[in-house]
Amino acid sequence: MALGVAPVVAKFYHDAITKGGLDHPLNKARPGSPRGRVRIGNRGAAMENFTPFSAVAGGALIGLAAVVLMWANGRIAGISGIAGGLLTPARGEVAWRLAFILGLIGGAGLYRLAGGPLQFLQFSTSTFSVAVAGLLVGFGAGLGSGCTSGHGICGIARVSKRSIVSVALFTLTAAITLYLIRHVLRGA
Amino acid sequence: MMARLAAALVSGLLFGLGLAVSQMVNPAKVQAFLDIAGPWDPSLVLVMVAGAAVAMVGYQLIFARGKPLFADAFALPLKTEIDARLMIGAVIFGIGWGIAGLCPGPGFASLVFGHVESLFFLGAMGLGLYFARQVA
Repeated sequence: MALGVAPVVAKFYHDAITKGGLDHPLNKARPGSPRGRVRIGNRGAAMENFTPFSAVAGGALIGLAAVVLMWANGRIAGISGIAGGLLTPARGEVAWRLAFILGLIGGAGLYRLAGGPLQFLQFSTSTFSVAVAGLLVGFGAGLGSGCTSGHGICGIARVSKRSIVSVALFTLTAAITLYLIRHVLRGA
Repeated sequence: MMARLAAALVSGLLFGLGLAVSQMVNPAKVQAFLDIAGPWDPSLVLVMVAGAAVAMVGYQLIFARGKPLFADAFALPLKTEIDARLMIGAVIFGIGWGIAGLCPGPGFASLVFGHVESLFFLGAMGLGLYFARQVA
């Protein structure tokens, strides 16, 4: 049974990585230019860029990553927690964190080497604003004990009340922030 | 020790691959979800639902085993109280997430795409995490 499913799953992921899989016809707006900026405003049909198959395929891999880390090492796969632990290093708490982060970077690297449809990223804001955002993201995740992975994936999976509150609050705040930037301040 | 490192590496690899496959490593993709007044892209919701669903089922099976393979016990958060730090932290995090469309995982995974923004984001994020630890 499990063996029968394996080639289907393998083909699904192979397609998702090399061609954008089943989303491909929907995903015509490829990030083509190396320094592409996000186009703001309506560009026709609603949800034109919705990529449900690669979203589920990628999301399942992230969930699997969380399962592996808990199963093997008994740890929550929260990136801000794993990275934060390196800043005040404790005995026996450094190497595995570095290995995880190396894997995190390497996993994206493998995708790019395999010729995945996403080869360049698009930033909508200046490098300075990205740095300010980084400061806020780091401080907020540190203070609030987690980010999109720790609270979002692992916390929700544990049905943690703290995580549910955190995810609701940071998603709402992020949406309001972007609305103000794009549709009020810039008037786009 | 080597087993713990190998497991952490494998978990990281799966995580990074997942972020790339789902395109959540791309700030524009994340902001297309956050920008509800633009051409809305709900992909992020499916990533979160699929990730949390797989983790939820996996966690149930794992916790039933009593202990992890290469450690003595599960290291789980003990706090259950919804305090001001949690909420203020989430709001500050959300403002940063909205501005750039990047959070810690994609911040690291974005490094291989060769944009200088990743370095600025990660440097500042490290500083922010450090400050938060001083406040703690």
